[in-house]
Amino acid sequence: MTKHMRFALVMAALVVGLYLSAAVAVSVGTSGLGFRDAAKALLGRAVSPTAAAIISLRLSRVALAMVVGASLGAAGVALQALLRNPLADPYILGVSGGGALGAAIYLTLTSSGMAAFAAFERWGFSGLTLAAFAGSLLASAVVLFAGRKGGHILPGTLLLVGVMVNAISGAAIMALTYLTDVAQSHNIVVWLMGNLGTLSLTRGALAAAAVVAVFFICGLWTVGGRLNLMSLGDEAAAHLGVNVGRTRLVSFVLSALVTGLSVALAGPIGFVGLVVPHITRVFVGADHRLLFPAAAVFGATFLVLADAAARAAFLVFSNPAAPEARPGMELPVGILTAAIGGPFFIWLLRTRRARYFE
Amino acid sequence: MSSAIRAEKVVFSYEGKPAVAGVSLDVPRGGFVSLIGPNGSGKTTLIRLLSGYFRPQEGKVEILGRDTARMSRREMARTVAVVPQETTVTFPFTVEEIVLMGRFPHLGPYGFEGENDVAAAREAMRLTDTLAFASRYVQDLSGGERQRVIIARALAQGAAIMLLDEPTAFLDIRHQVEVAALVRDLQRERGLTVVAASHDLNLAAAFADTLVLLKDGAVFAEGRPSAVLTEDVLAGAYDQEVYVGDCHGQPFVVPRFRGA
Amino acid sequence: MKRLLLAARSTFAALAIFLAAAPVVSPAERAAAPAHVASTSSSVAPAKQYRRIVSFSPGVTEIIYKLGGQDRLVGISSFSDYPPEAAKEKPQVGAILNVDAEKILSLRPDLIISPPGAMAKEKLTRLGADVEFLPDKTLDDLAKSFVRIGELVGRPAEGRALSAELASAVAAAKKRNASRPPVKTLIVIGYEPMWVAGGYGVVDELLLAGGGQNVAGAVRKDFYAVSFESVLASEPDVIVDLTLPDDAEQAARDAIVAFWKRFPTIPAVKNSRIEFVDIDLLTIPGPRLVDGLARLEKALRPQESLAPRPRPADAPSPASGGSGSEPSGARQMTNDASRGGGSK
Repeated sequence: MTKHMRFALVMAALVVGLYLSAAVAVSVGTSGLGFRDAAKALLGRAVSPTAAAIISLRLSRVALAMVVGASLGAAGVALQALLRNPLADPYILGVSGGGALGAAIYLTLTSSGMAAFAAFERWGFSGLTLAAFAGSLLASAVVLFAGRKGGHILPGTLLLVGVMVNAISGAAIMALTYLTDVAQSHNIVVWLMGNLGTLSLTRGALAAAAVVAVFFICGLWTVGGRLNLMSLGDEAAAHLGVNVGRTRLVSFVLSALVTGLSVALAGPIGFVGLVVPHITRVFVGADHRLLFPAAAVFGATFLVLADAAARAAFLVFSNPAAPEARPGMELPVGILTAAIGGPFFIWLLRTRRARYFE
Repeated sequence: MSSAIRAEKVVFSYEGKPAVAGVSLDVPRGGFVSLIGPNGSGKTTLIRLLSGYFRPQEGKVEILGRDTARMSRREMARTVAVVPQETTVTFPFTVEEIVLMGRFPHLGPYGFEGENDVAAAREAMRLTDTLAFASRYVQDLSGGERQRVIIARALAQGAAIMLLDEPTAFLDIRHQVEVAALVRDLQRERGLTVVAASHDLNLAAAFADTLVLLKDGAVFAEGRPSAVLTEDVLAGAYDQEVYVGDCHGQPFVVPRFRGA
Repeated sequence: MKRLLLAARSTFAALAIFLAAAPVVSPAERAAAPAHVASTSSSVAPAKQYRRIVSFSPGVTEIIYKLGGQDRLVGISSFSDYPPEAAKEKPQVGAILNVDAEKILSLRPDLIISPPGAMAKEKLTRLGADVEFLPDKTLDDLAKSFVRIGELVGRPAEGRALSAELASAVAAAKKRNASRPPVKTLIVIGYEPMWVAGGYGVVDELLLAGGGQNVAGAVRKDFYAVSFESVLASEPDVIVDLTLPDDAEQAARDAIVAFWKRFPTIPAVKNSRIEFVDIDLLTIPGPRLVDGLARLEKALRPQESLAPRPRPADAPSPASGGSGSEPSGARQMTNDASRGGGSK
C-alpha cells in the first residue's frame, strides 16, 4: 500500500470517526437527554422546545470543541516541528501565559457578573475573549522579537524566551489572584481550567472563528513540506532550498494566531496540543503534509469525545428513577484530556511505533 | 566554462575573526577535489561558501559560470548538493521519505512529489545500495548505512555538483572505503563534480584528483596528491612532523611520534 | 561508607553554624504563647468578655454593629464594607488569604473571630489573642453565632434576640408558604461558567423557607458551577440573579436580561421573571439575612404582600438585664410587640 493510499484511508477513517464522535457527544449531557431525542431533534421531528434548546446547546458546544481541538492539534504539530522537540505544545511559546494574563487583567478590572461580559462586546465576542486574544498576541510578539539573534529566529532561544514569558505571566496572575477579592480571583482560577461550555459566543461569532481557524490551519499545511526538511536541521534544509527563516516565521505566526484564538474562545485546555500530534504520527507517519490535516481532524475528534466524557462524568451519580435529582455538574475538560490522552499515549509508546531518539 | 566551481578571493569572518581569508579555487567539471588542512583552517566554512549557505563578505563564488549571490536558494539546491558530517533526524521518517526530501528543489507549487520524483529517488537509492532500507526508519540504521542514505538524498537532488563535509568522519575503515569508493564511482560514471573536505589524508590521497591544503583560512598548497603530500609541506601546514610513504603506488602519511 | 561519614560531618558543621545564630532570631515567636482557641462546639459558658476584637468575617462585623458592640471592635477584614461606618472607622487587617499579621499585632487584640478553616487556623492562632472559630454555613450555625457573639461582646440579650428574630422570620415564612406550591427557582451568583446556589447552606435554606424549590438543589454544595444544559432542562419559573448590587445601573440589568432572552424555552425567561437581589443580603452571614429572606419571598411571589414582621416569641423584656445602652434592635421589638403582629 503506498503512502498516499494509506493516508487516504486514514483520513477517511478519521472523518468518519469525527462524525461518530459528534453523534455521541450530542447524545450525552447532564440533562439525561439521549440519542433518540437528539436524533429526533436533528431530523426536525417534533420534540419539546426545551429538548430542542438543549440539543442546540450541545451542537454549539460540539462545534466549538471541533474548532479548538483542530486548532490545537495542528498548532501542536507546528510547534514540535518548529522547535524540533517532541515535548513542545502550542502554549509553550507564551501564548497561554499571555492569554491568561489578558483574561486575568480583564476579570480584575471588571466586576463579576454578566455585566462584565456584555460591557464590551464586539462582533459577537465578549470582552473577556477579546482581552485573552490580545494578551496572547502580545505575548507571542514579545517572544518573537526577543527570540531572535542577529535577525535569525533560533529554536533554542525561542523556547527559553517562551518559557520565561509564561513564567512571568504566571507570576503576574498569581499576584492578581492574591490581591483581588475572592469572587474575582475565583473567576480567574476557573477560567484557567478552560471552559468549552462558554455561552458568550454568538452563532455567527463561532462560525467566523471556525472559518478563520480553518484558514490558519490550511496556512500551516502549506509549509508542511518545508517543515519536513527542517527536521533534518537548519543547514541541511537550507541546502535543499528551504528559506529557513521565513518558514520558521510563518509557522510561528500562524500557530500563535490559531492557538491564541483557541485560548480566547475556550480558555487554556491542556494536553491536546501535546498528545494529538504524537498519536497521529503513529498512524500517519512523520510527513507534515499528511500530519497537519490528520492532526486537525483527530484533534477535533479527541476534544469532542473528551468534552462528552466531561459532561457525562457526573451522570454516574444520578439515579434514573429520580431525574429531578440529576447532579447538573460537569468536570473541566482539561482533566479529561489529560486523563485520556496520557495513558493512551503511554500505551502507544509501549506497544506500537511511537519512537523518538532511541 | 569548463570550471564547475570557481571561487575568487573569497573572505568570510565570524564575528570579526576571519575563517576564510582570501581563497581562490577552480574546480573543473567532473573533477574530484579534496580540501584538507588542520582544525580551524576554514574547510567547513569554505564548503558553506561554495554551497551558497554563506554569502562571501568579499570576493565571489561562481557555480557553472553563474554568481551564487544572484542565484535563488532553489536554483542553488538544484545545482549543488551537500552531504553534511552528521545528521540528526528528530522525527521518525523512513529512508524513502528522507531521500524524497532531496527532490524538494524540483517540486511544483503544491509540494507533492510526482512519478519522476519517486523514480529519481529510487534510482538514487539503487546507486547507493540503500533500496533495501526504503521502508525502515533512518534512526535504526548504522552510521555507514545512514551516510549512504544521505548521499542518496544528495543524489536525488539531481545536482551536477556534490559537496561533502567530512563524510567519513564517524565511520570505521570498511565504511570509509565504501563511501569514498561510492562517491568516486558516481564521479566517474555520472560526471559528478565532487569537493570533499576531509581530515583523513590517506583517504583523500587515494580518491581525489586534486588536493587543496588550507591553513589559517588561506590556500597553503594545491595540486596532485603526490605533490601536496610531502613531508615539508605537511609539516608546514600541520605543524607536525610526518613520514610520507608509498604502498603499491598508493601514498600514505603517518605522523612521526616523538619518543617512539 | 567514607562518603556517608563525610556527608554526616558536613551536615553537623552546617547545623552548628546555623543553630549558633538561632537565639538571635524570632523572639516574637517565643513571646506569642499558644492562645486559647475555641469553636462553638467546644465552648463553655460565657466566661470572658473581650474588649479588643478583630473580626475576620464581614458577617461578624455586621453582627457586632447590630448588637451595638462596635466600640469593642478594633479591626475588620478588608472585605467588610457594611455598615458604611465600619469601613470608615475601623482599621483593616487583610483577609484570610493575606493576613496582615503586623497590623493585627499592633492593634493588640484579645480576641479574633473568624470562620473556620485550615488556613485561618494556621494564620490566626499565633497572634497572641484568643481565637473563636464560628461556622457560618447554615442557618443553624448562624443562630448559634448570633448568641455567641452577643456573649463575647457583652450583649448576650441582644444576641439572643437577634437569633430569635432570624429564627422566627424563617419560621413565619415557612408557615406562610406551607400551603402554596413551591416556585421552581434558580439562584445565580455568577456567569461564565454559571455559578448557582446548590442544595446546601444559608441561601438554599432561605429559598426553601421563602416558598421556593431549588432546581439546582440536587448537588449538595453551597455554590457550584452548573452545566447550562441542566438549567435548560430544569425549566425554572423564576431566576434570581445575585450578581448586581442594588445600586447597579439599569444597563447592567438589561445586559443580563438580554443574555437570558437568548434562551426563551425557560419559563422564567418567557414570563419575564428574572429578579435581582443584592448578593450581600443573602450571602453575608449576618443580620441582613432577614431582609434577604423578605426580598427573596417578594421575588418569588411579587403579587403577594408580606405580613408585617412577627413578634419574636421569646424576646427578653427590654427593661430587665442587659449591659450598656438600649440597643436599637430591642426598641424595635417593643414596637412590634405593642402593635400585636401577625398570626402566632
